[in-house]
Amino acid sequence: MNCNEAHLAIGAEPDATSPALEEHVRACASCARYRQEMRQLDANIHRALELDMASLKSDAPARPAVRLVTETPPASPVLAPQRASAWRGGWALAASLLIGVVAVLFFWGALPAHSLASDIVTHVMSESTDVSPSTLAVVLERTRLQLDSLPGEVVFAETCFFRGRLVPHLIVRTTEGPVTVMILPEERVGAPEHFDEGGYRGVVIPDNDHGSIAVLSRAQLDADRPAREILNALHVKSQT
Amino acid sequence: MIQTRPDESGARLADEFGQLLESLRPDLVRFAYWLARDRSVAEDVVQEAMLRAWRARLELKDAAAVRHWLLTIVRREHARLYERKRLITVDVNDIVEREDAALARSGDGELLDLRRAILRLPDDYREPLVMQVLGGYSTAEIAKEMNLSTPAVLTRLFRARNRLREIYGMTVDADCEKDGNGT
Repeated sequence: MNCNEAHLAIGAEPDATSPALEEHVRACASCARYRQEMRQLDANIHRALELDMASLKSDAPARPAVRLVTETPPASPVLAPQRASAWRGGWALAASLLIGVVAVLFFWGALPAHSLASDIVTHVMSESTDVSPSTLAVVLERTRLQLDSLPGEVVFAETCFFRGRLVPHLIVRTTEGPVTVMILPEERVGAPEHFDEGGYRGVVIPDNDHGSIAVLSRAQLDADRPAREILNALHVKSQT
Repeated sequence: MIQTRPDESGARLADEFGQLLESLRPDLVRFAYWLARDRSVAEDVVQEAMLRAWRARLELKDAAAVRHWLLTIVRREHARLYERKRLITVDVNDIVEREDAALARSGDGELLDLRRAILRLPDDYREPLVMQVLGGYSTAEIAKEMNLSTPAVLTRLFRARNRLREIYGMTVDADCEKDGNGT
């Protein structure tokens, strides 16, 4: 277990333990401190959630049900209709059947099981897309790498759990459209591997020093160019 | 408590179950509140959930599991709420402002900032965190309920706590990352 894996395990379940985690924490004072902080934070979260509901009387009058979801509300929120008409129900049924057929094909081997490309696409499809540009610095701080420049504006940056490791996951808005970038220090490929599956097209390119980089997009754009630019911009952070 | 015994009348069982529901009501409302971020919505959700629980009371075989069973009904009822009603999109800042006065009255002022931060968490992060910390769900149970993979749940919990951690000014210890492979 390395520090990234220890942080994920502790951050997700501060009280959980395992032989590997205990061994790591014994040898790593920083992770031991992180766990102590997280346990204290968790105790505070518990206290914060344990509201006295009797004292939590709302001053506001009764309201209709509201969907309380958006930190940054979409420009044109689409609201679900109150009552679906019959033809819409028919289309929904047809769509459900289609999705079911696609899912069956997907899981019955139309795609190679557990390939790197398949895992990348599965991860990206399940990922939420809330924009957190302020976290870019933190995300990159967690790696030993730094990006000197990028071929566009970073609109999403998070640390993700992928194939058992924490990896940087970025969405970069390029002139051709948004691309998802995953920096995979532990995934090694011999040569660029192009893929087209699950509605995503992309490429995994090798980086001799840093494993590999995956760049993919829903748009039919050439992923090689942004992948090469990111590869050129990626450097090991200088130790000061 | 809830197990059907031949020598007990249905009325007595119903009475016991009713008392049990009422005793757990504050827990359920609190759980629903952190899911919905609105007291009146939470009350509605719990009312519906209790009706469902009442109708399904004979299905509950293990009295020790009743709290978990009820929390799951509340969570599903909350999810259903958004499937069947016309919904209004509300800015999260309005939510925090609206709830602030009530939260401030609820006792521990030291925790007010943390409560605000929890209210601001996106649903994807707040829901698993509330299920874990308040509901006592395991990661596997959250994954099953939310139809996610276990790694996805771990990632969301990790992110949720790290966002809350930032309000305490805690930062990643860069020294920790020098040894990439660790022990």
